[in-house]
Amino acid sequence: MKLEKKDLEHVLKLAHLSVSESEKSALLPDLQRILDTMKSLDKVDLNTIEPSSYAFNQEAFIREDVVEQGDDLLMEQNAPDWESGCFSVPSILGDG
Amino acid sequence: MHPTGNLVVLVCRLFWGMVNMTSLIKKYHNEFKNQTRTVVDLTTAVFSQIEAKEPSVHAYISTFKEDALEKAAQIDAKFVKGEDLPLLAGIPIAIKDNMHIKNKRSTCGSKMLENFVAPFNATVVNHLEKQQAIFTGKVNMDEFAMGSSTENSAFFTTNNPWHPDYVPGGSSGGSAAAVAAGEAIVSLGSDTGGSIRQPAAFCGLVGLKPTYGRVSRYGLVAFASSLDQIGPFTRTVEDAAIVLESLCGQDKHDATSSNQAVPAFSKQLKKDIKGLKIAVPKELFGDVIDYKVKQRVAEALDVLVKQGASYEEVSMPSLNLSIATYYVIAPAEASSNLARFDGVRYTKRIENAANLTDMFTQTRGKYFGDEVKRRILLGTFALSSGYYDAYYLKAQKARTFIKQDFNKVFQKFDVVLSPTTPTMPFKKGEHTDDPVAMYLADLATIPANMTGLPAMSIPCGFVDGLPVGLQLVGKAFAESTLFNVGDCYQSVTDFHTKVPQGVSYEI
Repeated sequence: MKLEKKDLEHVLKLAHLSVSESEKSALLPDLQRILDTMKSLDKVDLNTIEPSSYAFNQEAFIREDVVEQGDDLLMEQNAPDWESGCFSVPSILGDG
Repeated sequence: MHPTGNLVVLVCRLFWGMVNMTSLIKKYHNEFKNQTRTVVDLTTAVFSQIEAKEPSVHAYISTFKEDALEKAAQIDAKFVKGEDLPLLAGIPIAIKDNMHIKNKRSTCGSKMLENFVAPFNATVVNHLEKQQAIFTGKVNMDEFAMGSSTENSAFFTTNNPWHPDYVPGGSSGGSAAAVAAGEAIVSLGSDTGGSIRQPAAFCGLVGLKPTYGRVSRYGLVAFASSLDQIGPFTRTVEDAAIVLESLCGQDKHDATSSNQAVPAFSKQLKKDIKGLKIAVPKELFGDVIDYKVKQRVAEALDVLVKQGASYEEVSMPSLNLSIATYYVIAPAEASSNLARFDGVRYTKRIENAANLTDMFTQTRGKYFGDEVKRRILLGTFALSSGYYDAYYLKAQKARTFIKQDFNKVFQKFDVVLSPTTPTMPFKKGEHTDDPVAMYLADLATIPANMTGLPAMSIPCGFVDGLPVGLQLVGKAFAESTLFNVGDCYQSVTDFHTKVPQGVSYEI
């Protein structure tokens, strides 16, 4: 498919990514070239083949449902804004 | 297959005594045990090498000299007391900077995690600590393991120790460069599309991607969860077997870790490959592969045939789909995994965001690098409404198609042999403006990730002073077969004993 600027802007919104106009100009042809390589998938008839999400169909390993002492997640050290045991974030609705 | 094959074997046999050393780990272990050398001495030698080589190699993001020497002294005291210690006790090991060592930074080569301090140990780190290995530091990588040259690190580019103008490969370029330059005896990397095997080939080392599920991924920062595996870089195959033994096993923290029994890999090296059946896929021996690479790999095949193996050319048409399949599936999984970096929990946040959404989007826009952004967008696109069937679902079907091809081949053959990389190591900057050209570097390595099969790169010669790697792919959980073939090959060749200028094989 031909990727338009509006498609890129839609995907940027879905991905929660903000980039400059000059980055958009660079991304568009790069993504287009990558998408063009995907055409090789159309050369083979895959209609009758089942999709795989994983390499093997191994049953997931289920651990016992018991409470364990977790590690200190170092939130105070790692979170950009940590106040009295909570993450502090900007207002959801905008200024004020 | 190649007329020089006989000569290679003959010349190597003449030097049998010199090349027969197949485990550096065992050599150091015996020295520690017999007290002809101390752990402090080896650790000091490795840090001297780090100081000498880092200005030209740039493998390390952080080093732990003080911790390492303190631990070395403690282990020496145990050896003096005559304690029976594991083989990896006192062995200096470098860790890729996407695996957690508690209270040390895990940057993933990204500005986003520049100051992130790991709150717990990765399971592999716990295993190595139990073995009393010594951590030298954390090594450079392409940002979030996305890349094939380590040029996507947000901090600096690592140089190939064989020639500073060339890339070490990637994404585990720091892991490969550290061992090649003698700045660690062993290192750990992670492999999602070839990120252990390709840098191992470019730096002249053994690099192993175990079967998916063999090694727990807990504490490895996720890139593409259905493809990621952790594995070792070593000079010799026997050492790779020794390291893998200590890393495996089911882990309650990783639901995809396997319950398959873990063999004592290093004790199963038979030094015999008589009757081994090798498949050589023509799709990985055609025009897409540089003839210089093909020549070295063909010579290696001759060596294996001399040792009693046989080979046949096979056709695996699905291999032509592997790049396209990978660049849908890996970015799709990455776009989901990297959603957690939103400015709330992980150290970086832009200043003065007007509202929560601005904080998310601008933080991600500012602190992710170009390749990471490309892949997040690609993955988000492939999963988005209206395109899911045309891209993601189709790629998942192609993944099954690749698996079917390998299943067919493994009904008749024991291993699939090919070059590890389609080209020789390339120069820095050669592919940085062309993401598609960079992606082609993973042509031969991606299928093993798609199928979850174990695969290993082994040094198989040089062209103009730069190393070439040979790749072996085995049946699921048949790492022992790969080790046996690789060890046999190294017992009659000496490519693994070659080192770059200013580096000693034995430190």
